[in-house]
Amino acid sequence: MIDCKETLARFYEYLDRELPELQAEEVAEHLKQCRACFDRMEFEKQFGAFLRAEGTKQVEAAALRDRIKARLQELSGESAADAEELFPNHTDHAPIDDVPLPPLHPAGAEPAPPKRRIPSWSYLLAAAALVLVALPFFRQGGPTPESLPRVLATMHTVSQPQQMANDPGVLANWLAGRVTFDPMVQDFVAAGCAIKGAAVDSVWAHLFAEAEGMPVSVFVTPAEGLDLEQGFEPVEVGGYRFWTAREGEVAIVAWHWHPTEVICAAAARMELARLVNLVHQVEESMPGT
Amino acid sequence: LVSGIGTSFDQLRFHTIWTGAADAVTAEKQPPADPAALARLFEEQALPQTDGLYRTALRMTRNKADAEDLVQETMLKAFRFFGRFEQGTNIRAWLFKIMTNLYINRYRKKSRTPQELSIDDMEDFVLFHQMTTTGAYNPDQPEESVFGTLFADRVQEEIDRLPDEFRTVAVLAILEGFSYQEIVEIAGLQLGTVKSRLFRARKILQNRLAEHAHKAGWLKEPSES
Repeated sequence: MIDCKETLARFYEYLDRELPELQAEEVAEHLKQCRACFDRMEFEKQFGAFLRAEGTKQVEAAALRDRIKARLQELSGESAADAEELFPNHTDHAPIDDVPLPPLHPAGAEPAPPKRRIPSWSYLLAAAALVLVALPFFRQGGPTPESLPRVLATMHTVSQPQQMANDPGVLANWLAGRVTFDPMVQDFVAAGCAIKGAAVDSVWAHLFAEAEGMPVSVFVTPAEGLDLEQGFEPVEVGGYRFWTAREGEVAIVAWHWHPTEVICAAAARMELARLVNLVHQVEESMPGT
Repeated sequence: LVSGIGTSFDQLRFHTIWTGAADAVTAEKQPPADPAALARLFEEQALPQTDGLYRTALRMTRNKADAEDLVQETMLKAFRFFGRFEQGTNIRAWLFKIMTNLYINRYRKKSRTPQELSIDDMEDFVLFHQMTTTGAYNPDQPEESVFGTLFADRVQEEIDRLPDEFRTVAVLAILEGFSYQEIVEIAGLQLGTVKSRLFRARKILQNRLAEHAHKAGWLKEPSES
């Protein structure tokens, strides 16, 4: 037999029919015995029903539905070649597929006993290194690497670094309208990497690259980490690090720290030229610049 | 940092993710070779969800034009990835997931309205307490119509005023009737987060409705609580 306090603790879960059977029975039993709790529950039930009725009043969506339907028919009417583009399969990621899994511990380096605390950024380094290792060389030269710091400085300027510092969403925000979300990222979540709501922003790089039709991979740093410290120069902008090791190419790694200390990261690469372009576009669209 | 990671990810899983083998698994569920057939299937399964999506988009974006864009974009995106949708699973949740993600990525920042909220000062179950102590609600003769009389003109506005992260969860759970687990998947949140946000959303909503009713003189100040 549970008391009022325990009933209150389970109150809304009971109301929402989310309690396991046994716990729900306990609450139901208490409600039979306790008038005060019973009344409260009835009240909340009715109030909830009222909210639902008010909040879901029919809105006119027929015109919208027709518009969508027309657009879909337009799309599906396009040629068979386009159909492939409409329903891409995993061969999209062929360049990634071809890359063998890097060893968990680099050859020659005996897995170090975790006696020292591995600095958090080493995972990010490793992540970035992975991206660069895995992605094939990019064909285009584009701007010189020297222009990268300038680009990054520009980014800083346009978005008030002090506000940016703790807002991992800022960069995604800049690119709003160019970022599309790939449901696959959520599959990746289902695979065991719990990305918290806030971190959805951090996968923007993946999405962005996808929107740009570039090969991209999302990865998770595994158990022991990939201690592949490399000589890349990380440049930190807001919550993001940019890495550059090759001419004309930038690898972007975005990440999020999960409270259970699992690292989720998303990575993409893009041509430096494209990044520069985007930054300029963003700059132009910013008020007062 | 180091401890705890190991238990969650084994090398196999990492390998799967890294090499894209996970994609290969989903690719087994190939869409029909005929794009026209797939389009018909989509029309049949997804298109009827437009109303619900639009309704929710309105609550999310709080503006018609954005809501329409959001729904249209959601549908096009879903269509594009329809081949990856696993037939027989929950299409509604799948569509809401796509829409929620699009919304978070595109609209949320734009529409963010910082709010001063001291939720801790708010009372739990405030409407029940106040409406019973003032006699507006009689537990012996419960009448749902009393809510309409007091709040009908105000509910949508107060839902829209909820801080973004609470609003999404509240709309999905209370209005659209998704289960906690579905919301976990749709919004990419943890179960505990869903529960606590939903709880707070209810608390804020009730407190603001109560406040509104007080100002309108519909509820007398409750006696010292």
